[in-house]
Amino acid sequence: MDNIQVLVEFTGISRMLTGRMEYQLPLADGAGMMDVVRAIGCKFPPLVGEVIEKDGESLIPTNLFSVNGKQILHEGQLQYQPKNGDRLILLSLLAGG
Amino acid sequence: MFGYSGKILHIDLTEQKTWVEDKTEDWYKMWIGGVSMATRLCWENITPGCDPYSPENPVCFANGIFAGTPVPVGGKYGLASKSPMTGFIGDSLSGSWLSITLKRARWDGVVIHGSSEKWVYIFIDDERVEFRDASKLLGLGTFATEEAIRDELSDDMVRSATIGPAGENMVRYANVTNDGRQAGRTGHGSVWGSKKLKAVSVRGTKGITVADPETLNKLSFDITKEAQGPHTSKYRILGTTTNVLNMNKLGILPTRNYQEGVFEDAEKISGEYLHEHNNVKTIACAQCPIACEQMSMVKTGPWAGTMTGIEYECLFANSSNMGINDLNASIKLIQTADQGGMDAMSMGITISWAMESFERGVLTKEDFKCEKYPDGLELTFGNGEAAVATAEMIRDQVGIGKLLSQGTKRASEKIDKERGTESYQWAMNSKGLETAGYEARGLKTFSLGSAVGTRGPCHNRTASYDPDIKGEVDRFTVDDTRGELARSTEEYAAVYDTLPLCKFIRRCFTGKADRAGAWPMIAKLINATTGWNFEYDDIDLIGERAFTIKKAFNIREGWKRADDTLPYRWMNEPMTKGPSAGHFTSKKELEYMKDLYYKAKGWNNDGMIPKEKLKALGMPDVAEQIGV
Repeated sequence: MDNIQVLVEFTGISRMLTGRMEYQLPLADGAGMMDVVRAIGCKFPPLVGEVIEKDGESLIPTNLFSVNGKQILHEGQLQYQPKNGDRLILLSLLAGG
Repeated sequence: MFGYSGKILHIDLTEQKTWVEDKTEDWYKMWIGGVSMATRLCWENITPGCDPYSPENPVCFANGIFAGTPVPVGGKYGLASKSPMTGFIGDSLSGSWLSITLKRARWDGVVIHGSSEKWVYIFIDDERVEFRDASKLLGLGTFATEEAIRDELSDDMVRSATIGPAGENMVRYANVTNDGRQAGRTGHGSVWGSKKLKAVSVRGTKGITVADPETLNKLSFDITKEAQGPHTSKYRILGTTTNVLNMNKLGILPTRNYQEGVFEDAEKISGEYLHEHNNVKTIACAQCPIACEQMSMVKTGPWAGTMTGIEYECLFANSSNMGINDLNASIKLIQTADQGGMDAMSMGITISWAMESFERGVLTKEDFKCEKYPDGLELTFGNGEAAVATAEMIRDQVGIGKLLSQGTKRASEKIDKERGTESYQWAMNSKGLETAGYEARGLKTFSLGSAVGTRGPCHNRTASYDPDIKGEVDRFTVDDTRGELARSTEEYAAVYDTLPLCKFIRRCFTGKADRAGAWPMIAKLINATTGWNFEYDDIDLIGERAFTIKKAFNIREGWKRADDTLPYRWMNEPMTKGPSAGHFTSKKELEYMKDLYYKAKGWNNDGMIPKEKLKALGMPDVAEQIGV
């Protein structure tokens, strides 16, 4: 049963591929970031292969989530369990400029 | 020798003479190319302690090892002189056709000595050098100068590095432009202006010989194919401007002269908005399969038709940092910098300093009076028209433009001395160079990397923001890992800046950008080009040597530990808004991290380099001069 709601925010390439700035995602209690990745991959298939790995299970490196703009989840932190009301910002980080 | 000609061209502007210096293969194995070789050429040819605007400060070009070969993103060169901004090493990179053409003319490097009595441009026509009258080129913008020289020489294949009016007028942060790209930072254009050198033009008609063309072609093909995939799609589609929203969401987008890290109108100045409303095409440097530069045009209003390439660093400095939410004004500002030949970052941040000074009453409308604006200007945050007018005054050295053409350090020092004010507290520079578009108060590792940068605070010369923004460390706190992280990330960046290869390719070797993912492939590319037998450790040494020669240069010019510092604001004022609110890097934290950093580098606690360390790196002559 879906008990919590998180807001997934899209920027950059993920915004262009989804055509959305944000998406309200319902999650079951105890769901982890891998569940978030799977869910948005299913909802927005163009992300798979560009932002999400082809197996749909993890992000392609340099794409990562920030929780509420403060905590940044590095590649190995997909075990994080989102809390109700979290803003999960999907970032495609760049260097240079 | 494969991959190199073995020859450095020396040009004396004072005597209008040239000579050729032969270099050994061992010398190339030490210095490779790009910023490392350019700095080494500076080390060998400068008069220590000289005024950056004196004839004793040489202009040093060093080509890339892969320029003109099939290796993707390898068409780049390094440019170095003593910087008039910092008094230390000024090293910049630029890319595209000029580096390839110079390689085809069979010059690995060019050192320009002295200064000319009259305005000239240098024409390197393979092995022949001409000193040509540049009087007809004066006043032309950077791009127009390139075109005028091609017309004069009746050859579309001639490529030129040029300065614009800002360089002629010795705007301290003037830059050098070629093929639409810039050696942008540290004020090379004003050094050229001091020498009355308007341009360096090159026609190269010869071939480039590599050791193993079959292997080099195959490796290059594989990397090029990978560079068309997901590792670079963000660069190809939106370019670096996509960082505006990334930075804003993390609370590290410099806003209103770095007073805050969030901008309420970030969406209106974002790469996404730019792509939808202003982008006309995406362009690439020569030898690049990625194509990241977003050519953007103003389509309506008083600046309609204005067009230039937009990158993140130029954009933040000329939008959020000025409180400007109108991309048309930002495009006009960046075009004014690009065509005038100014570093758009230093220009934007200096105007931002003036905006804050205006709002605090340190500068007034009276200060902006000139013939064109007899009533002065209201240079408040968000006033795009006044910002554009100020940029033009800087370029042309009119009125207050003369003061602002000196950058934030010198402008604030002069104003504070004359008016008894404390505007140094919002002068956003370190060592005299304006800061990058990463709010370091929310990135503790990057604050260290910014403080210890040899050319000043720079996002390109250190990747120390990486562990912060990837969540590998707590970006808001300091711990004992930061010294090693700063060392490791700056030497990593120095490898790319020395080859040079554009860093945007770094995931296209194996999918992983770390040393293990990239160094083996880079070694293969070097070996196929030169016939050498470089291994993983040799690639690490490229980065360490590059950084060490730059630091050695600075020490010889009088660098002291106290020079490794941050702007007052970053060390004393926490931000009040957004995810990074409440944070700053205290002096105590910075000094602690500097201790860790010097130790990680193998230097003493004063930041000086032991002789034994320099000898172990193969630099006995450097050890003799500055080792302790």
